[in-house]
Amino acid sequence: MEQQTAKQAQDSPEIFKPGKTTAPDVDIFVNDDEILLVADLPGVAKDDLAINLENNVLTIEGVFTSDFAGTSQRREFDSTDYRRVFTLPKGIDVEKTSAEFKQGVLTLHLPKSAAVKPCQIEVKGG
Amino acid sequence: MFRRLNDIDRIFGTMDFFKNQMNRFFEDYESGRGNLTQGGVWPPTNFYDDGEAIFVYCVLPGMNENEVNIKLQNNLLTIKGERKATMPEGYAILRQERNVTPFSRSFTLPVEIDTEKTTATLKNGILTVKLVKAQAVKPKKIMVQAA
Repeated sequence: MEQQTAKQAQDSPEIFKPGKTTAPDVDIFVNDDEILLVADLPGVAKDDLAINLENNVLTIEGVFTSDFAGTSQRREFDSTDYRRVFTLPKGIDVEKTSAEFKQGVLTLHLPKSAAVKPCQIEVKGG
Repeated sequence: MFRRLNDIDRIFGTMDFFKNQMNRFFEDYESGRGNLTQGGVWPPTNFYDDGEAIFVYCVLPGMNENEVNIKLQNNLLTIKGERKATMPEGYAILRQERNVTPFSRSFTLPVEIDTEKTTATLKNGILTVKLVKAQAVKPKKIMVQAA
């Protein structure tokens, strides 16, 4: 079931505007309380980042618009749109999700709701 | 004889057609996914020149100022660093794609640099190094005088 968490929704949106779309690199961690997602979105300003969670589908989108000065001598990266979609398992507490964005790195906390948290079952001796 | 040449021509024409089709296919395939740079070295680095200075742009998401080491020796610029793995305590890893290997890239600069005026800033995970050119190599405007 945890493998499904990381399963990326392989949608291929139609592209209406020219330019590149990049899938950001992500790390996904999980413990009993939450799913933790860390994504690299270099060049994206805080206002250009959009995180959307709807019906267990998490969409992360960002825009990097370069403002390089002068003429190019060597170019290994350029402006890009970032987009990545994940299907989350059921039982994410949408109300309590939180996100930080610092130096192009997004940290997203997706807490599990009480219903799906594991609980210890005590065995009584008889 | 003439007809044969024509046939050969047609065969090559067809081959060209397939080649273009395949190229387009791969372009489509690569544009939808893949990284900020295709399979290149880490970190991706851009060089720009506005006449007065050389600008070096480097993709370093999530790095702090004190984790990046920039050295300028003669004409050799070295950018070095290591991103600390953000593995939190008590979590299981489901997916790990972010680059955490130490890196070092060196570049030979084409012109002399005024080392006093060099600045570096880190914003939104992109490092900008401004290398102001030495006075001697800056472009000069030559005025044309009427004789």
